[in-house]
Amino acid sequence: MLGRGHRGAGLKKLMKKLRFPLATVATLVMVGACSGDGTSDGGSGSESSGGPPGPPPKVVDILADTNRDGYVTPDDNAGEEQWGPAQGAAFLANLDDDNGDGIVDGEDGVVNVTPDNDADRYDLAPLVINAWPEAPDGAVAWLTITDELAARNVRIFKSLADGSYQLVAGSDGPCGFGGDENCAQLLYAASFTAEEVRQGVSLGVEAKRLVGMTEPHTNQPYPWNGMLTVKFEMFASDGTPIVTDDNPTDGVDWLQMRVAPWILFGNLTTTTDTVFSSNYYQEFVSGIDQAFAASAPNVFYRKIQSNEWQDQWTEDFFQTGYASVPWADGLVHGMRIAIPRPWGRPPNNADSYNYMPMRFLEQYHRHQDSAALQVYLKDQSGDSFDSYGNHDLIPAHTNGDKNFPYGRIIYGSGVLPETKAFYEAQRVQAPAVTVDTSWLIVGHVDEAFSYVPANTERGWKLFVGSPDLAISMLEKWKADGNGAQQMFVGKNWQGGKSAAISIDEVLADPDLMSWAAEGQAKIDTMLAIVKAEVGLADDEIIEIPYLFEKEGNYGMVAYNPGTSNAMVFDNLIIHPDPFGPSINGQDGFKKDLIDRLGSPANNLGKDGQGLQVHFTDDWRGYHILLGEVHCGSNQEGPPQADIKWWEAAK
Amino acid sequence: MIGRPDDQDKTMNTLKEMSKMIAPTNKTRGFFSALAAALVMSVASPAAADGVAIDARVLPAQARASLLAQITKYKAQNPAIFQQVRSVKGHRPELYTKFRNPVPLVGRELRHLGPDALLPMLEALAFDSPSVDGLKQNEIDALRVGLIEAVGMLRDLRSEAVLEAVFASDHSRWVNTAAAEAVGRLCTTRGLTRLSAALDTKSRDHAIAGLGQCRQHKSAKLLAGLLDKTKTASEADTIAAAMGSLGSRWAWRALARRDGKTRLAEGEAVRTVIAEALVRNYDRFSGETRKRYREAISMVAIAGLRGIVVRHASRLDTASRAELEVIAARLERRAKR
Repeated sequence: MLGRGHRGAGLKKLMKKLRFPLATVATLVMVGACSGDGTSDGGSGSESSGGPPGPPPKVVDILADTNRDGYVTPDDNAGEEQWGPAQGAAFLANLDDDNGDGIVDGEDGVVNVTPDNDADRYDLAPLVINAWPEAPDGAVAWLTITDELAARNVRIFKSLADGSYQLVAGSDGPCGFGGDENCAQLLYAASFTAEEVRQGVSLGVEAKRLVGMTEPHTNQPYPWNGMLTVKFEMFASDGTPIVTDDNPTDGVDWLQMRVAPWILFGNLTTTTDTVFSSNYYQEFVSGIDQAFAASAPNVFYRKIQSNEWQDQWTEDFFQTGYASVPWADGLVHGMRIAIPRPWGRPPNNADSYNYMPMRFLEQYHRHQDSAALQVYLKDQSGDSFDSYGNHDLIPAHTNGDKNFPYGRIIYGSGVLPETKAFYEAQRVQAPAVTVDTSWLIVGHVDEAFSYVPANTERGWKLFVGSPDLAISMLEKWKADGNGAQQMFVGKNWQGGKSAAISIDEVLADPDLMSWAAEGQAKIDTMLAIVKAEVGLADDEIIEIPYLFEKEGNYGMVAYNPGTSNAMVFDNLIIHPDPFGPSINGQDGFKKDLIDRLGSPANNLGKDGQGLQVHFTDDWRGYHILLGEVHCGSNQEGPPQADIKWWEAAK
Repeated sequence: MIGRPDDQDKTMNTLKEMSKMIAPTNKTRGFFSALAAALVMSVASPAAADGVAIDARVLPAQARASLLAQITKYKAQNPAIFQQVRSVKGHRPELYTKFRNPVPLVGRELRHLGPDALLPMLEALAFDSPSVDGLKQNEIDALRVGLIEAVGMLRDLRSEAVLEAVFASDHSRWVNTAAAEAVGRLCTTRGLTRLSAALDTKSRDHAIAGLGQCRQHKSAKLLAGLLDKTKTASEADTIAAAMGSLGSRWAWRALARRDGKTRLAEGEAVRTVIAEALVRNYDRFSGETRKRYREAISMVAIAGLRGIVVRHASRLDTASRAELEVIAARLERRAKR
């Protein structure tokens, strides 16, 4: 703690200028401390109350950005000893590769700072030993990480005068993670000389990993809870503790920080700047191109070439998210973190290693402020439930006394235990909602649900697949004399057989109709859970018409293009082209979607005027291979500034 | 029982060895030569014996001969559709590894070929298997299941003997379930008898699934009786799933469109039997089983659900009544579309 009376107005002003990078911080702290000329800021300092100056205050003080304003100032002393929703500094797991050397920054044992690239510096959270110019000769300061698990999972670097960094506390190497005891360094404490304390010391903190990572040798999540508690104290040359006026018992200054959790990207995340899909199917790509040209010209459409990766199910083979910490001016700093699926698609007899999605992410997603994180334990583990179309984010909501300001993860059946444990350990989007998707061949929540912005109190509505609505529409069209109209005209099933089929034929097919009823019943079960968990009203649910067909014991899949399985961000939605029957010269299903979703009818879109509705042809490349537009695309962006996870009481 | 060239060679060699062991008179030599030729033909001829699911020789002779004749004639007229059936790819890694869930699936591909594919599919099932060289067991089973399902959905009496034979044969659970459902879809008197008889065998679960596809009042009564008596939640789940399919309102409407309006009345009676059984048994099990019951009740979608709930109110606790009321309200809301 700072000694009382240390907060002069001039110092405060200077402190407000304290920003990262860290080297600057210590200098300014020191300058501020030296500038204590007795000028009053009207505070409670004893030496500012007039009379002869007393002895200079003793300063045994360590600071982080406890008040989350992006600056490290004496104001950060308040509440620093206990991390909570109202206060507490955050730090990042340094999982990106800022210098592009192919080594994760949190694993390389150094801070990668060069004259050309100092990005890694910004991934360290500042930790400052406040300057005490009058620190007595021979005194020694000690910074101690009080928890062994924390020490094994974090690293604290000291900023040196030449701009480089030195590891002074924490650890290097696995240090027990995964049963690997290799620990190149394991330093619970660091000492600082009186001379260093006189000038102040700039430190930086990073975590080596996120919380909730399951260890292969125990099958249990690594028990570290993400908290870092630091004890800072000073001893005189004779070994006696130096106490301060405001901490006369032992002089110890305590500080607690928390590692930033991984946050799942969702449809309503506002920072989408990149959309991914494979480049295999020109008609699919072309539809997306046209939609972006019209409604999202600034989004980068990353077309994955076949020589880069041979898996067109872009939603499935990696999951996008990010981690962030508070930054100055209400901004956040962090990194995108993608998580690979636990299985790849190796050709017959090929070694699976090169086909694991992690290889794709290592090559294309691990760079500055962008990371790849393997959560699963074993290559080629899990199944279709572990594809990320089965893991989604219900946007922000409150239901009674349950508040999920940053959304809540939802997943369907299956899912590897280590993935579940990881999601739960992040806490801010947990506990997850789970629904039964085992009735689907593919088994993914995105085959039934999607989330779109709405100009309502909640800010979004749920799209849900509805065979019941599809049949109602087909029956009405038949009643209107359109029973002979065909859908799927010009499209072929696998093997080349024409898919064209009339409304009459569809409605007279007892199997198709029975499957539709079964699909509806299964979706009703899923929907009942989500309604109860979220507190959704009926008018917050938008039914999207399509039927299901069944493949024996394997389960069901959308019969006509599953139009709720769409790409959504901002006000844009790209549906699979439904290739519906021509009703009065227009595709009946398409017109329905445009009328209901692209108009003010349902108060959709941020302004309630409707979504910008687009379609792309996914029949050949996705629909007949058991998926749709959402399955074939993915999206991400930088951390969202108004997602202040640190304010969540979790 | 899949004919492969090496099988044929072995058979021929064996017969040649046998002929050498007998005194080689011209007459006997001629007899064994003819026998060898006949047996080799029975192995090698595509329309003679070995399908992917059964050996045609297990079929009743008359049915076998009749089918063989129809297949031969149809094949001469429509060779392309036979080729299409034999060249489906959904069970082959080169295609299914591209599926969103990379599992072998061939039913949709076959089903979409339509009724023209019936005889080629029966040939593949019982007389002449498409090549399965290099395929794994689950891939072969996927082909079997796909063929059986696609044949069953055509509801063509010509498939009766083959489907019943497959149902009687010993295959994986998936194949046997598919066969039972196909027999159920055909829903002949003989098929219903076979399914009923199988309720007392190890094929009980398959038979229940089969009954769920047999849209007759009799199968509804059978399933309702089973639901009343079953002692296990897992079997109750199976029965409820079958009842949902059997009582599906939309399926009966489709049948009425296809077969005539008399089926609507029949459907109404079936759906009532099923809804009554599901409601009166609703409280017997909890948790997942009730969920299955609710799903089945939703599929049956009977207009008079509230009345049924009232009739059985004394058997239902408050929570159960509330759960069923939710379904009734939802059905009423949807009926107003």
